[in-house]
Amino acid sequence: MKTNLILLLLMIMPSKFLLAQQNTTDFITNNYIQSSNLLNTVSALRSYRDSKNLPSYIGLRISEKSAYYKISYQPSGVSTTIWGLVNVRCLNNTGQQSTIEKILDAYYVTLIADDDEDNYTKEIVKNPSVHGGFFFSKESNDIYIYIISHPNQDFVSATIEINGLTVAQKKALAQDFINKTVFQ
Amino acid sequence: MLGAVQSCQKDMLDIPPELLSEKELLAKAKAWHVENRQLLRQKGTKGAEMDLDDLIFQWDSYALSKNKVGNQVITVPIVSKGASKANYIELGLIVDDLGRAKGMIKEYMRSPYTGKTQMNIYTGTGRLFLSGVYDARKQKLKVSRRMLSGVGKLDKLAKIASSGNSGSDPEEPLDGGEIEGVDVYPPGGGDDGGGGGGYEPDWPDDNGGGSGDSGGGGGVPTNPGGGSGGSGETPQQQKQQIVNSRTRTDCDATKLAQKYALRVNIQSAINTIKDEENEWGVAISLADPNYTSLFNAGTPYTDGKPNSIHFNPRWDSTNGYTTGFIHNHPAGSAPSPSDVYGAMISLNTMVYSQGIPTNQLVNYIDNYASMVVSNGYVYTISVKNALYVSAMKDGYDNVKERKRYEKYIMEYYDDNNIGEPSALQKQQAGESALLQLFGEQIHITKHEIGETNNSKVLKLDNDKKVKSEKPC
Repeated sequence: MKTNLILLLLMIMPSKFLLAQQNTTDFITNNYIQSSNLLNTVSALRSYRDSKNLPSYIGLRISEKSAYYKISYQPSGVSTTIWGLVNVRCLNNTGQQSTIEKILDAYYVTLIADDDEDNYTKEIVKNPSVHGGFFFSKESNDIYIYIISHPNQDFVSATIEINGLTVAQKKALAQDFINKTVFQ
Repeated sequence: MLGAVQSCQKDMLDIPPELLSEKELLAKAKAWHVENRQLLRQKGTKGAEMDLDDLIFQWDSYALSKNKVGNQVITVPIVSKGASKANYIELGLIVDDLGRAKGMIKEYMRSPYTGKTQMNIYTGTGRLFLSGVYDARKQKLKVSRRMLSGVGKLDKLAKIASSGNSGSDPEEPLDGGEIEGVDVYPPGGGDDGGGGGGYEPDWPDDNGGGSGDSGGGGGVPTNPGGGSGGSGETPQQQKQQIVNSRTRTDCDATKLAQKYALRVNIQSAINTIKDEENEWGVAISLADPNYTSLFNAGTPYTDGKPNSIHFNPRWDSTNGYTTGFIHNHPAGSAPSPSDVYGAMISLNTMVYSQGIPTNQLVNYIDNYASMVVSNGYVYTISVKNALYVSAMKDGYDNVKERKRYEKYIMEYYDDNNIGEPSALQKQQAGESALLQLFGEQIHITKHEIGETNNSKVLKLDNDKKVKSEKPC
């Protein structure tokens, strides 16, 4: 009877509960990351990507180690809001000590690969509670952001995909995203 | 990381689709097939009703035509090891106005040229997405079943529909058109053959003769390429056959890496460039293109950049017979996507070049090596499947492959809970991404600088982590 009840519960549970993603809000808060904008099924992610012209290029999946959210941004002096996608991953520090400069560079050299460095913007953003850094190519709609809490050095990786922003707007978005990140 | 060739590739992709040459169209079709095989490898065969391993694409027997809206169409007959002789299978692929390849695999259960026949249409990974009855007289498919529920764009299938290079998921059928009006462009059946080289099958007369609907007899060609085979092959056809069928084993790959590692001049080149702060490169060439025992190492050079270097491989008596290229990665990273193809001569060009005999093509395929010296290791990239390599080289989409490379790397870091990647983790992320991108086409081996008999081939495990094996 108990087994049947569990099976019944599993059957009637919405699929979103079966596709666990990382609960980002356990780690950070950020105005750009709203729980109402969580994309927690592959079909929702696919549909949203299609609607915003953000092709995945690889097979879509939902991972328990990160989470996808719709993200919106209204550039300064512009009346329209632009919607994009962010994939966020948080890790608690397990004792490692580093600097945001070293972390950013480690990702940068791997991801830039053979691309022309002249096309890239790379910057460090620090405030009293977080140290962050980002980079992006002017030819791409991806913005790679890495943040560590200060001084605990808990870690956040956020990859934003968003169309239609200028280099200055992408830069402003990345800076604001870092500054709005509050570690729990 | 090799950069110079990429700009050439972009130029090629910018050519309007109506100007694609026969060779380029064939390369698009091959690239589409390779891409779908890669996707199948990533996703597994679950849901695939057609086993791609059972299919033999008759790349020599393609035909060109145009559809009713003017898109170029290429059809390639397919022989299935397990299919009934009554069946006829072919790849149909168009290049749309934006230059995107869209293809599908069509399976006619009986003759496609007489009466009506059951027809199944599959994605490039072998997933059935449409079934119906094909009317040869009207050249229309009346759809009875639509599969792949959850794929939202099925109702907009193009006349020759389906997957390919245009969207987020190569397996997903895309784009506009009436689903009830699936037109069929059988080999040789188009109204614009596009010149020589096409295959003219021995079809039964329309609405008549042959074996009618019964199949089984001579009505449905299951070996369409037979007409051009045999002893009368031209050197070009012989070379194409080599490209179509040449594969190299894991053991071949490690032996090749060790063959190069044993050469004193190559050891010297590696030691010269391994600690440089910018990328430095050394061309490797055969002293005689007909023999593969003596290699020359060129003079080391640099473009003064930390993450790129140009290289133009050549195969002629004036410029030498370059089988490969060695360069360093100062950042300690794994080979990049351009390191796979940038040092390579187009095999299709070698096939079409009258001055290159068949034995030299074999020598090139068997000895091609792009070597990357990084963080104390030597990576050696070599040919695994010549056909897939040729498709990759000529059909490479730099923008898309680059996106995929980045996403695979980020997935690796995510899956392995990596915050700040170590030197080893940076290499492993790159290795995993590269094998996911090109594991069907190439081998990657790795050994420590100075080792001459311990090269190991890199493979992906089920979790997309990289493992190394010594196959022989």
